[in-house]
Amino acid sequence: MQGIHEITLHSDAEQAQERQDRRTRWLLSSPALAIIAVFSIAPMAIILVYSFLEPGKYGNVVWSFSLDAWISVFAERDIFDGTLGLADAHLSIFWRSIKLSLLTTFTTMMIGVPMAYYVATRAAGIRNLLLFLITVPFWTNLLIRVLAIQEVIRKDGLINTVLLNLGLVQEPLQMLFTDFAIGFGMTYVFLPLMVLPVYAAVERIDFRLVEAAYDLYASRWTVIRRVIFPIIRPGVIAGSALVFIPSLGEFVIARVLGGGKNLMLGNLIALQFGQGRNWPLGAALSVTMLVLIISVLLIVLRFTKGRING
Amino acid sequence: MIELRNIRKTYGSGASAFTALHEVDFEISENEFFTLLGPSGCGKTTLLRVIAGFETPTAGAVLLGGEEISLLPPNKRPVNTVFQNYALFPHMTVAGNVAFGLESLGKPKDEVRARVEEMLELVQMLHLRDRPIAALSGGQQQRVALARALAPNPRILLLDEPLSALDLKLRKEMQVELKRLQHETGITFIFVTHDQEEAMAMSDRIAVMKGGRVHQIASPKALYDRPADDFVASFVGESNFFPARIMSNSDQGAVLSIPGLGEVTLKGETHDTGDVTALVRPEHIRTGDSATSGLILEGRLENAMFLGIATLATVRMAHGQEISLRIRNTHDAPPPTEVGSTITMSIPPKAIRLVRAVSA
Amino acid sequence: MADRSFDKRRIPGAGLIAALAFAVLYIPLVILVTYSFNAGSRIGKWEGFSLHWYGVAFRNEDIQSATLLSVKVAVIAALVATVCATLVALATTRGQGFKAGRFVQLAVNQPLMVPEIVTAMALLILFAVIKDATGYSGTGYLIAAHSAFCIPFAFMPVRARLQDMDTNLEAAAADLYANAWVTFRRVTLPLLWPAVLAGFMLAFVISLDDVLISEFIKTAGQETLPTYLLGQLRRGITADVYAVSTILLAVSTAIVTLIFVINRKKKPGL
Repeated sequence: MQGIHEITLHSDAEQAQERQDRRTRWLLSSPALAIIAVFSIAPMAIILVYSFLEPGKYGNVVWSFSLDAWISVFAERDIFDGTLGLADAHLSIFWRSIKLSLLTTFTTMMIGVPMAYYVATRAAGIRNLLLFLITVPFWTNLLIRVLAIQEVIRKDGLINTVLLNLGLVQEPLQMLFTDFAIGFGMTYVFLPLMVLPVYAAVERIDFRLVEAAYDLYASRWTVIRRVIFPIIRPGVIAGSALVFIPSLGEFVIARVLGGGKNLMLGNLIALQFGQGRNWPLGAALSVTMLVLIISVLLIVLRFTKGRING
Repeated sequence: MIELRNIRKTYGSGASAFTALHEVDFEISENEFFTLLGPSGCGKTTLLRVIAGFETPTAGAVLLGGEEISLLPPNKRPVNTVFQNYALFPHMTVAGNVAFGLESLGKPKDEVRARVEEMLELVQMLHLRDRPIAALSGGQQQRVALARALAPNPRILLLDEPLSALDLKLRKEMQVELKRLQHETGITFIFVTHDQEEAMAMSDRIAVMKGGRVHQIASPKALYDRPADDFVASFVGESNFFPARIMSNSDQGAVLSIPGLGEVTLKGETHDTGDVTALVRPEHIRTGDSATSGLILEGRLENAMFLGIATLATVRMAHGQEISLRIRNTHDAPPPTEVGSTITMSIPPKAIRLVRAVSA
Repeated sequence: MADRSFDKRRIPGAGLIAALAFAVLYIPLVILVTYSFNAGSRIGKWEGFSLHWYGVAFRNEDIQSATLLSVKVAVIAALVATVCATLVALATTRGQGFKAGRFVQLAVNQPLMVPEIVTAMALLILFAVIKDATGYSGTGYLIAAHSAFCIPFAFMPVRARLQDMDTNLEAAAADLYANAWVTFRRVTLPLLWPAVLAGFMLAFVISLDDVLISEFIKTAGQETLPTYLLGQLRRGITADVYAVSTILLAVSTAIVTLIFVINRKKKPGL
């Protein structure tokens, strides 16, 4: 009898303790959660709602339900006969955004993977220095980096000066305000996002495995393909996602280096809230971008999970 | 002084529930060096954490000097712990660590200083009092952890495998040191280890645990000589087990039959007839010229390992069973080494113990 | 260090690619810094060393007020973010039994998952609503928005440090008669402090660097340093912009260096 009495006594005390503990934890979490809920999560909900409203005359919205914004994301109403056709302008911007983002991901991968591998296999002192050198531009104001690139690829910038002096070109090349400029800028800016996760993956390689492979008569290429690459693959996938996602949403680089003519999705969205004055369309485009990015994220998550478990 | 009454500890609930301690019930007296011994996962550390207050028992009670303390938080218990990895505060000096408990208790500064000095003296660390923790060796950290836990003069000191991170030589030194400290301070020590030799060397009493249950509590000698069951016997020392049978009891004693070995009378003992497990320690089996009384056996030497002080031999009997022998190496009687040679052995009846069979 | 022995780690070409990449990363920045010290105004034509453009930048009232606003917003936002992030890290990393912990951590990292342009537009709408309702048009909007997107950055180092920290240290403090508050003050906080500082500095740099969100939510007349620079970039640059950029570059480099040093020293002994 006494034993049973004690059991209830202790579990009650324990439960009360746990409740108290949970209350404290929620209390400690509440300031961060409140700020993020109001200034980051709630705005997403608002933007979703706004995408189903009608545009106001001078920006803002009229509170009546409409699917027009969503229709005009992909389709265009002919101004003469009112029939719907594909929104060529929008689609070409979608396409440019995806194309440039994929290209940026690919280039950063081709440069970033060997770079990360090289850095991670140096002696500790040099490794930390090189890592530091990769980190510094990453934490440098985006505008400064964009400005620096602009000065290099301008008509009278470094590259053209060198090319002209060498006699390789007669006329200065037009690089600024092209898709090349955007792609170059994004590669420059997002390269650390590829290098850092790959670096972390290379650092985890147990080089006794490589020794074992050489011991079992593997060639250098076989070792790279069958031992090293499978180990760093999760890092490469993570890096690709980290590069692709912000590339798709990029605004400042396209604005400055693309010169306002070569729009990306981010610029198109911004346009709707500025000169375009079509907030619902801007909201619908934002939601579309968000969905695109979340899909990429989910695919990558599914993919890496399978890789790691398998 | 400390009583554990029907302690049960269950984690989780429903189908995933796991019971780490099953109705543990015993007491430890004042000034005792008491050891909880068992393989990893046996519940010894959980029991220690229940005593320290880091875990609340699901059922049962912990009584200290007759008062229930089961629900007191660790900072309200006059019990201190030496952690397995020492858990010394890395941002404080040696003296800072030792002073921590006294300061938390709000002791006056002079008293704290004097006590810290006394404790560091006790563990021979006074000369390193202002060193940062990171600058200490493993053995030195061990001493600081001891001084820190002893400084508030707890009624019980809990030690969670404190020697496991040290190398063999240092471990032996610390065993002696711990015995000395316990003797000098007169504090009850509860020591957790999975190392039976360590437990035997230091303890007044040992509780052997497995699967959350206490199998036996006894002095090291009693544990070795009279293990309660085959698990205790095999965990504490080496053992030969024989399935056997009590045939009858006469006024001479109980008659034990061991299939393949023969029959022997256990003088002065009385047992229920039926199947039993007989235990014989390898060092109690005689060989060569001295193998003259009791059960006399012959077998083939399978292998012999020279260990210096003794030779560990495995002999296979005609019916297939293997028997382990530990033969003392003496200068006049070289141990058998030739594999395949025939060995004559004898088991004196006094060397046979009947144990409960609990292991599969 | 000739390549005499067989190097099992070597991949041919990796060193060359790394060297080129480092060159491409740094040449534009080096040019920018160099020309900020140019005496002449024409970029690409070196006319001798001078601090002229620093003086010009220093006397420019627009730059002065933009710097002031940037620093004010960054300090307040980083403080708010660091306090919030530290509290939430303490709540979600210590001990078990907080099943919502994973959800809370996910929510805290939410700002990282949304592209900046979307956040900027969404905040533009939200703040337009608030402005209509209250008439308020101060720096509060910038501070609120920056605090929100700085929280995950401040959270990262603090959470990592707490996860590395030996829980036995807190148990040892409790065992030595310290109550929860004393344990936090004398053991947890001193050990966590470097990470909190790193979190603050990360948040500060992130806030200081933000262009996009600030550009869209600032009210008329407000300029942070990055939005000012963006405006200048559109107009065509004068060399004083180089000077301002060099100073910003120096500030963020100094902070990154500090974070590196703190992280290097974070493992004293155990």
